[in-house]
Amino acid sequence: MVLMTSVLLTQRKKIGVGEQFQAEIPDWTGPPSDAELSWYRNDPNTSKMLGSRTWPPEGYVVQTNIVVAGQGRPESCNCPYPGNFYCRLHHINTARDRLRSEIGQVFKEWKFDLMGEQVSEMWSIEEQLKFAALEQLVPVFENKSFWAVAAKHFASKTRVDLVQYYLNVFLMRRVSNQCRLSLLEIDSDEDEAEEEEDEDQSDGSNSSQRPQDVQEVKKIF
Amino acid sequence: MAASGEGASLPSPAGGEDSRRRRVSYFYEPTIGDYYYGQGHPMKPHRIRMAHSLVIHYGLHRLLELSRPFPASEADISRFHSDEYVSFLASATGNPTILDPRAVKRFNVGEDCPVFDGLFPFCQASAGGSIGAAVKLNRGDADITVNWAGGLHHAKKGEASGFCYVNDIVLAILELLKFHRRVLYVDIDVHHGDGVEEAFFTTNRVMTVSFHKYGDFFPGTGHITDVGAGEGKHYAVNVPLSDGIDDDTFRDLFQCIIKRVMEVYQPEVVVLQCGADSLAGDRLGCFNLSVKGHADCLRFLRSFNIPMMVLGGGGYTIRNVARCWCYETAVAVGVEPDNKLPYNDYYEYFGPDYNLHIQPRIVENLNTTKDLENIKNMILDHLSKLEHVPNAQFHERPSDPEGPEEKEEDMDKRPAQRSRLWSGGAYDSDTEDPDNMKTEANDLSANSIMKFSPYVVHI
Repeated sequence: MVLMTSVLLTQRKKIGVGEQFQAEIPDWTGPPSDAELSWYRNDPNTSKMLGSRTWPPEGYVVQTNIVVAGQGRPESCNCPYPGNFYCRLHHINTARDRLRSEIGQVFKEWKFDLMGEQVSEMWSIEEQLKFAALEQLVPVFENKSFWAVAAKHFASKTRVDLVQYYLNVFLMRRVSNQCRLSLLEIDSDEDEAEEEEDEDQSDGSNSSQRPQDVQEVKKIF
Repeated sequence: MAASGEGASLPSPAGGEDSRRRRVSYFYEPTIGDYYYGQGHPMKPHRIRMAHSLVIHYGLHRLLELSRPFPASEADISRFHSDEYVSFLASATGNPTILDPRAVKRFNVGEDCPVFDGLFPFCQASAGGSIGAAVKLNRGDADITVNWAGGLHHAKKGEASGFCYVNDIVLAILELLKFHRRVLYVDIDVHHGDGVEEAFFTTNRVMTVSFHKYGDFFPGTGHITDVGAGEGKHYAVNVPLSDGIDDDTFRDLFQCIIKRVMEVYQPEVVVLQCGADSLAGDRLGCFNLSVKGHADCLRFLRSFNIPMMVLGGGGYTIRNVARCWCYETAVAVGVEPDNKLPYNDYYEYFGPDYNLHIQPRIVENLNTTKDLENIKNMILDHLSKLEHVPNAQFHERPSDPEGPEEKEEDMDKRPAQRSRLWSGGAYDSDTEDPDNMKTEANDLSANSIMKFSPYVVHI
């Protein structure tokens, strides 16, 4: 019992009480009058916090009374090898095109043109291979200077470019590879490669997995 | 090509009488996904972009109003946070040589809360979305507002904490308090909602209810006997839980407690923090909720038909965070989406099944029936203390008789030690506690709690 007490006590933190902790709460003077509500609605400082409406856009006319929402992908398709890499790629591209034609310029406003594999279109094959190789040599969790190293090797790319590529292309391809290798624990939307050593890998060690990223890139193009 | 499911075909949102429909307003900043906390850091704003992609490819935008938030200004943020802290955030850049080491220490930035490129604009977007969501509700322009970039519940008045820098939730609630007498805040992140509880600890105009893992876990507050102070006494509710809680257990407890909270507090508006680290398999979490189980909280609160704000929060297995917040957006609008995910730009993250819903893990639920009964009873007992004054003015409460376990304590000092949310290194989320301290430390029977509470330790 004594041990229990001390464990809880050393862990238990207190909420701070005092002016330096609490928010200043106004007194409640009653529900707002119509005049107050009207002032609130018209005050530009308040209204600007509503941001800018993106959808539906101005003048958008709903074509029909029925709205379909929540639909997933179809059960089957006409691809020669349904479910394989090219089938998925084809459907992803089709879905993107369909979305672009539905929402028009909002597609770019929401930056759908900078999501996923599209980001790799701004990277040459050599650059993609170099990034994968660098990442393998300078594992993210060990050496804190991966981004500094990457910046040196990709002088023409900004830090934002590198991070965008990492999040949209590199990490996603890694997950895709792990699925292909049927790993039991798919964890590589995370940066820490050390976790992968705990996984039950059908083809052995951690390092043999990385060249797959490179192979995958070669296959795509 | 046959559709895999029906999706939902609904009449367009002309009238609002249908009990399934609500006017939902959703805030999204298109650049949010590019903010990057740094190498190896588990918090990835990229997950918000992934969720957005799913929301749009499911066609949910056809039932939503979507807005780009206006960035909150320093003045907006200073409505809660201290001036010195806000100035620091506004001027902090990603270049470590420029940071004053005393400021770094004072404001708790560094490891958990690194100063990264674009930190302040990130905070402005997060807070701007939540404040905008509050303005929408105040104006009556929406029934439910959503900001997945918000929910950063650990940030304190004068410092960062647990990956949170600006407490957008507090700012949003302060805005709501202009037009709503009583605001209910509910937090289902696996971590205790300490920043929000602390901000409103001494007021009865905001009731905070947090369900979280307690015991050898960040942030270390959220004990069941923390009920608020001063005028805010009994207006903070803490539900401390153990590892492995599952959908059914959580739902029972949640519905029972929230139902009573609604009865005695009668809030005019609800703010729900939907931290997704309470999902099964979260990198930093230890609960075992499915996306459906998590979303049942939103569904239950929605059924009370009062204005509601839905915010993000934690969540570190990003494919599941995206699934969860997409599904919860659908629940908000009243649509049951197909389990087969639509093709989208982040499709490959969701293999091998490419489904929306996730399976709970096969782990032990360390919350025993006895523990849960005790927790439930203690909390209902705390809440019953509010029933003495059902319609009284909220600023004048008669003194209530206090049991020995509730003597006033000197709470002006904050413990000097700050705990970390993340160990900073390679993280193995499957470690079992080797000394079995967890089981003992989580003995929350009424007996043990009464023995512990008189001991106050300022670390």
